[in-house]
Amino acid sequence: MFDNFDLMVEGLWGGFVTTVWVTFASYAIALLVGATLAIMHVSPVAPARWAANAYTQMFRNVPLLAVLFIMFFGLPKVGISQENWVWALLGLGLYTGAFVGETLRSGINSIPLGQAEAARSIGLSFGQSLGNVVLPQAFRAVIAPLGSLLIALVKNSALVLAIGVRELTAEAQVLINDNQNRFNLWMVIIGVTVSYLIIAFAISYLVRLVERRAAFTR
Amino acid sequence: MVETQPKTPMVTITGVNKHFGDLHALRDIDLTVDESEVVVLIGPSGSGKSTLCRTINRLETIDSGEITVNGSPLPAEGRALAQLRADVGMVFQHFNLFAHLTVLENITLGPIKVRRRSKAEAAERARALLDRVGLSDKADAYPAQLSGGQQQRVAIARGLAMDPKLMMFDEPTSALDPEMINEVLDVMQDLAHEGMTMVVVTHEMGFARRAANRVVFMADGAIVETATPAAFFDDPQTERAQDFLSKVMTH
Repeated sequence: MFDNFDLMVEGLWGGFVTTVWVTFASYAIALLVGATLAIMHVSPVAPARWAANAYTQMFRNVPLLAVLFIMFFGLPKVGISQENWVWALLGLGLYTGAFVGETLRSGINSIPLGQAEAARSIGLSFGQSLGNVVLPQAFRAVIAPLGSLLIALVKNSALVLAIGVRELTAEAQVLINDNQNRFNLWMVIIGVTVSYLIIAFAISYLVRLVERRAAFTR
Repeated sequence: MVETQPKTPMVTITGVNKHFGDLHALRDIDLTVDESEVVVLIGPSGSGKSTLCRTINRLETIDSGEITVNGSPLPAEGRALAQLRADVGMVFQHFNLFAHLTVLENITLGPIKVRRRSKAEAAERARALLDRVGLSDKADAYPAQLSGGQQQRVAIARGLAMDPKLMMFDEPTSALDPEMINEVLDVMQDLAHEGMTMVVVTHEMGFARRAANRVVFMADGAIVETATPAAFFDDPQTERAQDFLSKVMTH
């Protein structure tokens, strides 16, 4: 059962590292996209709101796997070629960004209108009141659901195996399909499961930490 | 209070109308507020006094008419409007202190971001203002840790930190417990004595009598009567005002 255990751990470790960095890099993209969408959602400029809505509908209603396939197989046909990991980050990031945008938007809606009015009344511009008053409070209000999105992203990141990125699940598949049959199936499954749990628990802990540090009483 | 100074209009409101759906919230409002004048708007709920107050810094838009502040018409949107709002302090019924910032940060945000003051300079001025409203020991507290009266005094300090030409108070004591009303009114009365131009929407008749240069009585979206406090409270001319006063002055 423990045959080639070191070799298995080595393989899984490689996948583990890939999963972690793909997750966090695409989450960074998602936060950027989401913040932009949220700002567009509450913008006084109607076309900005329409565009944000269109984006959200598109990326929220198309399966992630389809998004990845369209990028990886479709876009090179129209002359846009990139390495598969670039498509992985973009696919995960743009898809998750739609959800981050909706989450931030509900956070913004939870902030009393008086906060924005007070901000405007001391002469802050629309952008300044958003950046200094509304978004910091909105963000604090939605740290927990943003954490859930991050954990969902960890699991969604397994889909990028379909475009050839060797993350954790892909690595497990390789180990299971080893043509010399060197690895015990159950050991690989347990190893993969434990790896995902470690990532998820670490994120949960991190989110709670951020939540506690950002807490303020109303 | 300051009768000797030459009077220049700080706010002129001419022929202003405003609708909320079917409700005619402001009807042909004409009103001038002179420099260093304290104008108190009173009237029953729904009479449009708060709405009128909020139109002066364009937190409410108007359907027709014209409003000028310090000689120039209200800008529609954008940077010019932000600039105007910076010159017009506003104190809200529900304080609206920035919940995620300390008292000091609440007061310095505007001066730093809008007036481009240095952090140190803004903080020094903020501490002086906190001292003035009697809250120098609360600089590092968060709004939720303060009583209503304390929050409202911080809100006044926040407005004053912008060196406004005009301060507006939209029912500043209506959300306060009775024992906290006076600490806020005292600060406002001091301001009035120092010659700050003030527009005050309030139900505090005692304050109106003591601090106002002029009382403006509104009902159903229109200005019904304008008079000095003494004339208004002792000898109201219109039936609406007599009726209103008989209801609020019985206790």
